[in-house]
Amino acid sequence: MSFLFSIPAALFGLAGVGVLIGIYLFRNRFRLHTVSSLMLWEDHKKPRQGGIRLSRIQTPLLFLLELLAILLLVLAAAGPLIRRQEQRASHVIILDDSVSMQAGETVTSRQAAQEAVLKLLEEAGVFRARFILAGVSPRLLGEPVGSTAEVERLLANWTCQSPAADIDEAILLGTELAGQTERLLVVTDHAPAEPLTSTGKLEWRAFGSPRANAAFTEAGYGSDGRCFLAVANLFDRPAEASWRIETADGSEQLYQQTLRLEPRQTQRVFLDMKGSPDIVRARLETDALEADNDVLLVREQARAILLDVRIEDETLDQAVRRAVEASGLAALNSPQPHLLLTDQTPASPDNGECWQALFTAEPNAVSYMGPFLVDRSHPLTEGLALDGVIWGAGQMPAGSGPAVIAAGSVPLVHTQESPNGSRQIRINFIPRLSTLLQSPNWPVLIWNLLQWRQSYLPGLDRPNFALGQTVSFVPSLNAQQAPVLIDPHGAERPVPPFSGLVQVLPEEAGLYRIRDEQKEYPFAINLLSASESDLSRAQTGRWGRWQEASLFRWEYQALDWLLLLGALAVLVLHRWVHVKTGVDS
Amino acid sequence: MKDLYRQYLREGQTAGGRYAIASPRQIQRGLIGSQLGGRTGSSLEFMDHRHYTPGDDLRWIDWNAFARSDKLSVKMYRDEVSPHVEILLDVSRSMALEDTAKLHGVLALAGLFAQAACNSSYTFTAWQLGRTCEKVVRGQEPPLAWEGIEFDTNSDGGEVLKTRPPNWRPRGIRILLSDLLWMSDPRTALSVLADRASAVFLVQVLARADAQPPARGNLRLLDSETGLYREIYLDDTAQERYRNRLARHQTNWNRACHQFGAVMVTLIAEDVVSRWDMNELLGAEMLRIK
Repeated sequence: MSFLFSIPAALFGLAGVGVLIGIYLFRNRFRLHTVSSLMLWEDHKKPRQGGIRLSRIQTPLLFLLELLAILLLVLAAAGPLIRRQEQRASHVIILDDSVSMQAGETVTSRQAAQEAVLKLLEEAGVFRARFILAGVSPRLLGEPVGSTAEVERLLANWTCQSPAADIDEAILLGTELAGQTERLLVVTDHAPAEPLTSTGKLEWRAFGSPRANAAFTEAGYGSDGRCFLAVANLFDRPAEASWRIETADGSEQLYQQTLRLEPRQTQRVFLDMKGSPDIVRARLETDALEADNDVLLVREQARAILLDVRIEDETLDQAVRRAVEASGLAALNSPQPHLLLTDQTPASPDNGECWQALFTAEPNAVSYMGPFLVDRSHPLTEGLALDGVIWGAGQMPAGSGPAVIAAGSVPLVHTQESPNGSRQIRINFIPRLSTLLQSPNWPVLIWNLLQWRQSYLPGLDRPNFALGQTVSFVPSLNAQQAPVLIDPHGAERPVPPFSGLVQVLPEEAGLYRIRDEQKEYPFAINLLSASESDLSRAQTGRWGRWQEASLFRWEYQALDWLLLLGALAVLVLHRWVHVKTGVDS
Repeated sequence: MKDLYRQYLREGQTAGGRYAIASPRQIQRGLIGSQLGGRTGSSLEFMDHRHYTPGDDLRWIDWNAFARSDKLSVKMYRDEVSPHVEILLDVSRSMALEDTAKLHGVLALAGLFAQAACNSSYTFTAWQLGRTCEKVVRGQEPPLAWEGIEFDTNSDGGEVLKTRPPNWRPRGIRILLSDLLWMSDPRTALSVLADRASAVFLVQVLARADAQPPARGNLRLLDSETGLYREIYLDDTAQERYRNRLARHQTNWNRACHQFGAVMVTLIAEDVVSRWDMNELLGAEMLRIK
């Protein structure tokens, strides 16, 4: 805004114009009488100036001058300010980077927002702007810029691919960057969740509108060929959603269906896709937001653990084998096992590939009834509920590191990692003194053990992720070089592992691949965010207007002195006219 | 000059056909001396002496009387007592007060006095008293020949006469036609008018609106000469106050006239032009029936 008033309430003084008009209209009418000379008319009684009858304005020039003087004085009192041409307006602009900004048939919210931002900066004249992308976490978008051409170049990187927008965090970051002299502008497609605090520095502009939308909100493709999809109607009216499954390249349609959905209903569909390709695509018909109408699904690859069981104790051996078979996660009797379960004297693992789970029967064994100390953060303890369980164990020599499960100071389950990457799990357990084998905790413990080992097998833990989720990949042990990530556009970049794990956070939906030791592991990133797909709360509006004058006074120049001078000149002219025309007050 | 003015002059001239200027009752004495004219009259008849004043022509000194009395005196002849009439017309804007007969009246009276002067075999000169006191163009000819009279000034006649006293003929009759609504002291004008005059006639020409205040109510008074406004509320008291002020003003003029030996008459212009009743002028011995 290049012109504004610092005290706009003073404009109520314009009511004085009405008073002036009233005075002139209700002034007593005077009969004009021309006389030879006023010399005989001195010391006569002055008349009343006003009455109750309307009269024509008799001295229009004086009236106009008085009117002008009132206008100038009121305007001066309102504190007019004009933007200094040479003063640079500084802005920190927070851009909603979430997918919902792509909504819109002819003009998307993002396009409308960009136009508004460019217009704002153009009108600001000389400006300096820096941008923050509000995604799952805020980040700066480039360096501060001072021309609309640079702004357009920067905004080309505003892709609106984030599954969420943490605008509050972005505002905090923006507030730190803005300091004392910069305005904050939030550009999004919805209203603020809470009323803005009236600091006057923050303005919130939304460019959305409520729209009906159907979206895929969940999806999965199991190793058994079973495909699962959830289709949601995210509006307050019933809708029909037609969708289909086709090959990844779209050349063949594999399935099609039309669902009738009630308002806010989500319908889950399970399909048996046996014989189907490893990668399929599900599509919904076109609606307000395209990003949630397209889902790529990669079939999960079964990662069976190669297992070897060498347990002398027959009871324990049977219990272990039964639990392993029930899990379905392992293949027994493998010559080169990933996991060896044994109760024999521990052998040093010759390579990192083989973990050992050692059941020990230590001397001086007693039965422990609890309470047990359980490290709930460890994968081995997930789902264990040891209340009421009797665990028989001997006095195991203390190993390095804390126990995973302990009875007082007696470690019951203890893990140890060797330099080559393999691990040894020592389970201090005597079946004949325990009820663990008879409790559900036993298969849970074996499951956790197998799954933990499985998580360290090379490859992805799963192939389908929602946008915003971190993808974890276990590279091959002893790999010669870092795995390479290939994005949907074909660009490759190495992703070195850290602590034996590669973690990537893809920023857009699509099909990715990780190449490791000549083997490629595909995975799909899909939006799958009901909150982002819900466009019913989108709005257009403006909240928390900048309090220009009080907070950004240095950008403006006061004009009240000019108006006061003008009023003074008008009053002098008024006096001159008054004397010249001889109106005797 | 406007044809209307000529019409008014003609009316006055016509009305003045039966009148003549009354001769002054006595030669004005004690006035400041003036130059005697170089001409002699057709009948050079000695009439009287008067005291010598510096500047008098030495040829007219009565040396015999000086020898007898050791006092210088000057002989006066007929042509001195056949005065010239100076008709002085106040051409300020107030004399043309709108919606009144004041302009009509003052021009008609000027024509009347010019005709009366002719009827008395007097010569006359018409003057207009505006920013200066200057002769009317062809003001010595009959009124219909007069030119250049415009009632457009805003001046105090007394101050004008004092600042630039005109070069009137001595021993003349000076007739001032004005409303006399001046701020200056009447004696300022009269001292000039009476200087070396055989008679001074003041004819105050007022409009009826001048003589009578307007009806009651809120009035915005516009001074016809200055353009100034004054807003007043006129009630009975104010009307009475106006009349009193006018009467006082006229009284001041009368007193001054008495002091300088002038004669003053007040005429209402509307009455003059409607009835042509010159009884007041006759009564004041400004005019006589021819």
